[in-house]
Amino acid sequence: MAVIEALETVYLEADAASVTIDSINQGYETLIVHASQRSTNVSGGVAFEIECNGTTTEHHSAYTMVGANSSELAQENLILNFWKIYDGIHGTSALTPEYATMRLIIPDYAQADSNKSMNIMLGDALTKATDYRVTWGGGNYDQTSHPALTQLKFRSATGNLTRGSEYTLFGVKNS
Amino acid sequence: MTQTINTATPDYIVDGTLTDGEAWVPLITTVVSGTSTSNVQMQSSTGANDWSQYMDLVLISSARSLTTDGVVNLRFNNDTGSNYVGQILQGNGTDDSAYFQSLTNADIAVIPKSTATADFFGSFVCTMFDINAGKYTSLQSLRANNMNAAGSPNIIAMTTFCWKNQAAVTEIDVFIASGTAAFAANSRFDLFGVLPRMVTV
Repeated sequence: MAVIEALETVYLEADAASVTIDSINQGYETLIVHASQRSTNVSGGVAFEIECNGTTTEHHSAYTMVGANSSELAQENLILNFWKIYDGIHGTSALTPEYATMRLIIPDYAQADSNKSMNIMLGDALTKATDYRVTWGGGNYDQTSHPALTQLKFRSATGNLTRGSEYTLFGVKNS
Repeated sequence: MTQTINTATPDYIVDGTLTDGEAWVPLITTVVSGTSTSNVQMQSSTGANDWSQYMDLVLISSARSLTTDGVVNLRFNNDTGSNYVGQILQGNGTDDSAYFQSLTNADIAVIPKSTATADFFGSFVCTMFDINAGKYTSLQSLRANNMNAAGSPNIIAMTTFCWKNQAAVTEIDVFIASGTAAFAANSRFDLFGVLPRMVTV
């Protein structure tokens, strides 16, 4: 088995409300997601949401640091049913060929003895004056039963994910 | 400068069929020797080094400057126009700052200058996303410079840049801001191609 293996790539051929990667292979230690994404919302920055295991209850929290033009921001989004990243994706106010970027890392996702944590970096809206964003964050999926992570869902808080958005899930094997 | 380019037939293609394999494929390794390497040029070619087969590229580097200029820039496809826009958030141990840039290249790192303590090298990891899709190519770069030394900025930063050009990426040039400053010996640049896995669902 490879050390880093691409498990699944989703490339949107049409706008979609969300992208779900499910039945995640449990044979690795760490998950990485690379994404190139854009929202159909008529705006610059839009909140970006990541949901674990299709949960409808409030088990997700996230903290972020943001460089926004000349401002430095620190934000939190606690106890939601998804990880919420303010302005983590951009809408139609950025130039059409620009897609936002995301790199998500979730270590030890397959074990059942602790909550799952994540590390995320995003960049967006660089062609939309005053909405420029670079974001780094961390989060926790806090569920008492500590289920293995088997599904990830990505969506824009408002609007759809634009045609051409792309998500690739990688599994990283330790030994 | 020593440059090793992986033009071997990709081992993830067997009898014309894609097989499971490493998602990160080593493409080009560059190790600086001497005192005259002011530009590290990486180009798509053949075999594994044909970049048209990859979704993303990742560049990992440890580097140092031989001059008092330590800003590392990246340029795609020799495009010297004002087509690079980016946002940076950085900290220096005391202060934090954020700023937007519109440049003729992407500003992806700061490395120790000649005035820094000897043998201190900076590092950066630069990921370029979806380079063959007809989108503007965007990148993220995480950088760390110097640390615990005088004469050069101690900076960590996260950076994102967008190249306002829809061409597929076929060449990357990495150079110190002045364009004439040289990288120190043993600076190294490792370029990887990242394969997708298209799944029918």
